Amino acid sequence: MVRQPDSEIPLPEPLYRSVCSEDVVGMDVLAAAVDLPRCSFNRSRFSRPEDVIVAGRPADNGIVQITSADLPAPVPRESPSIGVAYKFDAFDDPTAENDAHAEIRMYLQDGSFNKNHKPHKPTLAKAKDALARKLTILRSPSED
Amino acid sequence: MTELESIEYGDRGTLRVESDPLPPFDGSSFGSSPVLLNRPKRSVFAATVASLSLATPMGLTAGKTSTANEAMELAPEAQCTEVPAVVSDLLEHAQRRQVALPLALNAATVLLAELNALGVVPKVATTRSGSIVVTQHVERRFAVFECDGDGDVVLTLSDRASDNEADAFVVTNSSVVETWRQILKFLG
Repeated sequence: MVRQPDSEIPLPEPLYRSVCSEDVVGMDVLAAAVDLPRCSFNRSRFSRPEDVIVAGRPADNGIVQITSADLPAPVPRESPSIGVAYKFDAFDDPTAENDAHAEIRMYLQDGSFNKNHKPHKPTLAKAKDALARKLTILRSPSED
Repeated sequence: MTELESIEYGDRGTLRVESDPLPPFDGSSFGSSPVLLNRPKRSVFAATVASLSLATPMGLTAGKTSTANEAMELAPEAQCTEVPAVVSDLLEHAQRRQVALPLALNAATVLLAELNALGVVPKVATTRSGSIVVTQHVERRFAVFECDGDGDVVLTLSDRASDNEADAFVVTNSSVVETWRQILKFLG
């Protein structure tokens, strides 16, 4: 049975995600390491860091982490819809397959997350870069 | 599948492009915003790339990948001596992640061929969502092309040594040379 999601994830709780060697240059995590407007992570409260490494993605053998406290500042919405910015939040999202599953989502500051809303692509690219900048490498990926 | 054309890279290899009954690619999928890339010059790039076969005696990794529509196949037979590194990188990484989307592959093939013609050998990666990412960097300044599943290409210029927000553009059918000049200026 899937556990009930927590209403919020504590600000200092680490969230983990796997990355591959192509996602990392030195200590910089590239935007390719994340997906948006929603990006999956594992909560540290319910998992170990290495649980993000799965057989189905053998190349993704590195681990990065972030906390809700470290999420990027809102990213301005660009032309043709200048106005409200996109903000980032972490959401608890347990599934039957992964009790620790959580997502970092970007959504308009004056609304709630809408999976059908598609941000302007350059804005999305900036948001990915902003999120990737905030990730810290817990275990460097190898090319094996 | 019908082989449309073979791209000869001199003594470095041959890239065969095949197509299934998808509509022809006319360049419009590069988006409508006013920036960057050349419209593909070769007719072979104007075709929707639904299947790529790469022949090389070096072998690469023979076998079939499991992309969304089984779009890519690496043929083991020997027909040429070497393939352009950027294209073999693309195929290798797409195979590793097994998720490259056909339109992303199409856009990335065009982009890599253009960059290859400029003598640029970028880093290539495939994301979990099926996009193909082409990256060039100098120290901590990154120029990143993301070729997404819609066939659009977005260029992001990010200086990780500064706190400045990244700049991002949709890449369209203007000059790659001009684009590359902008990138070089950014990379310093």
